[in-house]
Amino acid sequence: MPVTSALAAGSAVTFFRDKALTNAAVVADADSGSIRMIDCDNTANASATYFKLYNLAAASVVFHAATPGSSTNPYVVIPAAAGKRIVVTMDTTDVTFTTAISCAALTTGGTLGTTAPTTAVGMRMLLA
Amino acid sequence: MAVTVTPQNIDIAATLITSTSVNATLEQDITGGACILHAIRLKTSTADDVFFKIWDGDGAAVVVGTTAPDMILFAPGNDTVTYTFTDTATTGGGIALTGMSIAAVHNVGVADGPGTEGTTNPLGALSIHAVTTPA
Repeated sequence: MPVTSALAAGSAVTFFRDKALTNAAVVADADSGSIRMIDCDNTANASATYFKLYNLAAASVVFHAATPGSSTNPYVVIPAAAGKRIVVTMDTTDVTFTTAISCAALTTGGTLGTTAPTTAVGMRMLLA
Repeated sequence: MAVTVTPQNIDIAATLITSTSVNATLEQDITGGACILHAIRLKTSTADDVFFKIWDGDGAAVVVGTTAPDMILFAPGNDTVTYTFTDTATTGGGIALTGMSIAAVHNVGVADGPGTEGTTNPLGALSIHAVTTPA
């Protein structure tokens, strides 16, 4: 179950965590926000997983296997090889999504694809 | 585009990759084989947002706008952002690639620019600095 919470009272930084991210998009921030850190945990899988971030509300993210233009284009894609946990940090608050921040995990890069990782993956983000 | 690859004279055998003009034309296998990607600094020169894309491999079969990139990084307009990559299970680890082929496209809109799609050059030059080590 995805959870987004403030790090401390009054803090502008929020922490997002989903211990079981899969091929259904979930929202990390319902409105515009910046991404400071992404933790992509694919240690449970024997194949690569692609962690995708969308500048849209989760309900608006569409997945399609083969038809270009029918799937939502991700703004950021981070690959994590089999058994790997990759942490990505950004040095500014300027990686800003203007609409919302949603995420999903799939077995293919780029835009197309509908297949979830064999085992749901973990994803954590620091947002500002 | 022109890409410069400069070996660094330090113990970890790092390589600095620079280019001041990454665009929608694919630059194939800029590392000349397998590498570990540790960091990329992206600098845009106009208000235009840019999407920087990496394909894992020699790029021989890649068609920009059609072949799904393995990695996509968002470069905000009029800004510089550095992404660093850490493999938490490996000391000194980053993202392992069998080769590194790159391109960057203009943000035409949600339907063309992010993701796999997009074949339009950025409106202004995108500069990159990337640090890799041998695989």
